[in-house]
Amino acid sequence: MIKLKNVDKYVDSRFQRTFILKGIDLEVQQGEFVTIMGPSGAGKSSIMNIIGMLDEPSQGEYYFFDEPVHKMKERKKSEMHKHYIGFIFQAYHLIDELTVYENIETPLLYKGVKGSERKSMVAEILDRFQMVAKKDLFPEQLSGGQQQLVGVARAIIGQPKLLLADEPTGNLHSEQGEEIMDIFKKLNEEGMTIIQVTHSEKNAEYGNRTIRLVDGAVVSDERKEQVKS
Amino acid sequence: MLRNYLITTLRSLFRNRINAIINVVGLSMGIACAIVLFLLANYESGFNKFEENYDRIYRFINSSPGQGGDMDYTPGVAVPFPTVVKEDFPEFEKVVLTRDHYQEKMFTINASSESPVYHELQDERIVFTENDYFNIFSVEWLEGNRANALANQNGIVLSKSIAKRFFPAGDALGKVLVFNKMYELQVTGVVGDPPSNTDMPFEIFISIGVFADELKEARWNSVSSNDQCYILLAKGDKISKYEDRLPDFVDKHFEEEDEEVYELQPMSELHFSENHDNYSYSTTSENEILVMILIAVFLLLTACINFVNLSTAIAIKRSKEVGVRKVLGGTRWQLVFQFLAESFGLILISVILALGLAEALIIYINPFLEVALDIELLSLEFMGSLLAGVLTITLLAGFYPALVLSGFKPALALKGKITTRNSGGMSLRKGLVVFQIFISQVFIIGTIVTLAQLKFIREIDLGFNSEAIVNIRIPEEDSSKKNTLKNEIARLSGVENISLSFSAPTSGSVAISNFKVEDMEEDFYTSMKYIDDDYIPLYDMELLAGKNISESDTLNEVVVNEKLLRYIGHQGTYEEVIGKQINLGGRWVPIVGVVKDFNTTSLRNDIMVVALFSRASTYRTASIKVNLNSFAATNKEIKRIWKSLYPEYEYDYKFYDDRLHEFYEGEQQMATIFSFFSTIAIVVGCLGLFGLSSFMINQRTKEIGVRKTLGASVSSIVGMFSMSFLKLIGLAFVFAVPVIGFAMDEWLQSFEYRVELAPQLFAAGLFATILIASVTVGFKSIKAATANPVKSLRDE
Repeated sequence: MIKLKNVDKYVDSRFQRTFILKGIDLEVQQGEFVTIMGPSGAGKSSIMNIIGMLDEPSQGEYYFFDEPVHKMKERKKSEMHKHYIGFIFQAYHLIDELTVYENIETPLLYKGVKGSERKSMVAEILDRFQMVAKKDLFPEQLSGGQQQLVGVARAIIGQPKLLLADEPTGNLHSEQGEEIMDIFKKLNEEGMTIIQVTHSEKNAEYGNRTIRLVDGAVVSDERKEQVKS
Repeated sequence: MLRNYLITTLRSLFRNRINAIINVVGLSMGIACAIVLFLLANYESGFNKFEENYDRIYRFINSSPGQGGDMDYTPGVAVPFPTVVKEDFPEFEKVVLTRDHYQEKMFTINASSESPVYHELQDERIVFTENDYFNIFSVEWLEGNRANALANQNGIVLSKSIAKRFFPAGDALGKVLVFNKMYELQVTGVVGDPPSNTDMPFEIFISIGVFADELKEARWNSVSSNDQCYILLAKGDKISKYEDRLPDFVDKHFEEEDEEVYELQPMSELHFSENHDNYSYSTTSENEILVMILIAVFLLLTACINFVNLSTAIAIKRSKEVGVRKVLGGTRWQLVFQFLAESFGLILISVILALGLAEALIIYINPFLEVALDIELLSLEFMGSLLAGVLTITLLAGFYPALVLSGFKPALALKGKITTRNSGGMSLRKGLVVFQIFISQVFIIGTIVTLAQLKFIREIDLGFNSEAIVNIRIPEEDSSKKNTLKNEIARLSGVENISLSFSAPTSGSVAISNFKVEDMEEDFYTSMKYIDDDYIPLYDMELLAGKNISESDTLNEVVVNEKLLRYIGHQGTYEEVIGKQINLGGRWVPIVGVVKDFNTTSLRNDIMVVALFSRASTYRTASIKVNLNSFAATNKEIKRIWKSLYPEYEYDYKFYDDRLHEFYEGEQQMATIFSFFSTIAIVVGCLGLFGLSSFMINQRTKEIGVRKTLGASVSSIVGMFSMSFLKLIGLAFVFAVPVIGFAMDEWLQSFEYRVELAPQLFAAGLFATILIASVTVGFKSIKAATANPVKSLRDE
């Protein structure tokens, strides 16, 4: 599904080139739940941005379902965002001016889903996350955990193939965090590919593969035994 | 999707409502003023365009060398002129003589009955002309026979409203009335009222045949600007064919030394003619129209700049939304569309508000400038230009912010790493603010210079004293009545002095004649003042030599001004000239006095050569020096005396000081309009400055916090912000000075007496801008500087 080939990301200043990522080779299969870990400045967010097509590698090749992302135009990338990729952020990033309902609905609008279908899809997901009562509230009226639930709902309503989560529980209490991670696990079991960045070993346990980055390079890549297969 | 945009827009506007209000208020003020100015420019440039024969009507205009090498210009022709034109240019389809009548307009209805009704008209305009007038100019014909209404020498055609006033029963046609107690006329037609944008604003048309006897005797060398000659070119004919023949025509009918030049001026230039006046007494130079359009564009630009500045400033607040929308799959063009639609919405609201404002403005402007502006909301033309305007402003004001917003990189935007510095265009935004301040300064300095010039001409020494002098007119020629009037008024206790004359020292009319000086060959020209012996003392004019004229009804001695002596080349003392004979109008009379130079016309012109002498038959003005404390009672007495002598006429008096101010009514209007639009430009500019400064300060709260923890004082922080704005003001000033300096110098050139464009005037403008800007920016920066740094630093 995802194939990074010798990807570099660097910043040029006047006298030197600073590498953020160097020589990354990475393959992710459909259905995996990957955790990326590493100290601050290791390049976790950069690799997420590249996989999520929000940023481009300075060098190297990136294939998404065998399509070369490094050659895609912006319009095509928008298409990928609409149909294949969902994002979850540490700071939730809900649109402040929109209610819970409207926030969840927005990706469907960009996808061009028809009115009645849209309604039922939003209703279904509200129901699933038990947020029906809160659908008319604005983000600032919700707790952090609730906001992140909305963030998850918004990310998955378009039924993406890939879910990218950049420290999704970083701003949450452990209890709220667990709730989110349980949802991730369930989604993964339903077949969704998930890549998350986290500092928490406990959260990493939910996944089935852990990649550790140090100074822009992969230092380890462990797969959990597939206990039940 | 649209609903989603709309919701976001409305909620985000509400969240940033201060900015939104600033945006809408500023924009609508700018647009309202621009609408009014465009309407005004359109109105002025649309003068006479309703004439069906607009491009076939021409009039003869004349230029000839006058006193002291200047050219004299007149649209007037000698009375026999049109007749000769008809003979020499048979190709012209129509040729008419028109004579504007500006003196008494007394009409008597039922003159022969026991109770005649008198109507004395004031501002209504009367023209004496021939029947072909109606074949040249578009006059809406309501009653009577258009083909021969003025064919008889006693025909009179009335406008609808005049007819209604004279004959309320509505049976004007065929009725007989008497004009100025002399001419018996019969109503042969009723026509529509003239439109407001015409230079032929006549409401009464009288057959020029009433002057048949006078016309027969009329001479070639007596020209009045009231007599004009209009022609109608045949369809398809070209004026260029005749232009070459005009010099020959002049040679044939004028003497060689006259150096007269006649030209044919098209109707399209009538309203914009610089040297030749027209019958509406209002010409607008093309420059003035250009200035109106420029001011309108400037105001619009200021408002648009506000919009751009505030929108890009808010953009940073909305960068997160942009990031999220992009991540969710929104394309850049979808976002551009969203933000453009937002701008469009705001601009549409502003335009609707602006229409209301403009409508209100027009209510004040129409009577003030004596124009008839009208917002024809439903006309295709207006709607079209309005829509085009809205779209232009949307693109102008909305496109840049939309591009900036939609161009944010989502990875950066979501990390909150978009700041004023990397949101792009900080220097562009500063440039726009500089441009805005530049516009404000141009307006401020322009206003200051205009007001200074007005004050200057109001306070200048005219060479006579105009204080506490009331002028009343004398309607009839009868000399014994005039003398009775003078003697009776002189006896009133509140009256210090009274003088009869043709006109006051400074007046709108000038009579010119040639004269000879004893022992000298050349012909000289002088303007003349017909005065009695009380005139010079009443107006407190200074006699430099000799004495005042003595009481007399006719010319037998003359007082001259200094300029006349310079003009004839007199070298010695003024005393030496006393007793010298000069020949005025064929009669040798002695110079008995020399009076100090005084202004005979408005201060746009230099002092003229003047000869003052008696001629009782021409006296039309009584000047009364009154005691101001008891004026109300005195005025009642004067009115009683006046009414007893001239019962049919309206009593009307005017303080001479007020009359003098009227000479500069145009300038006064200009000053008022200038100050008004300056105020708008400044207010709009301030709104923008306020919005921008508060935004910049918000962006720098953290910096302020850090500086304060490092020990910066409140005053040093306020000083830091003030400096950054002072720099912008200084830069704008550097650009504004040459621009407005040049423009105002051009304007001042139209005055013979003008203030100097002193550096203080510009400095005052700079000072005013700094003051206004400091108040605008200072409030916010003091608030920011005194805030507790703990709060601003806890954000992170």
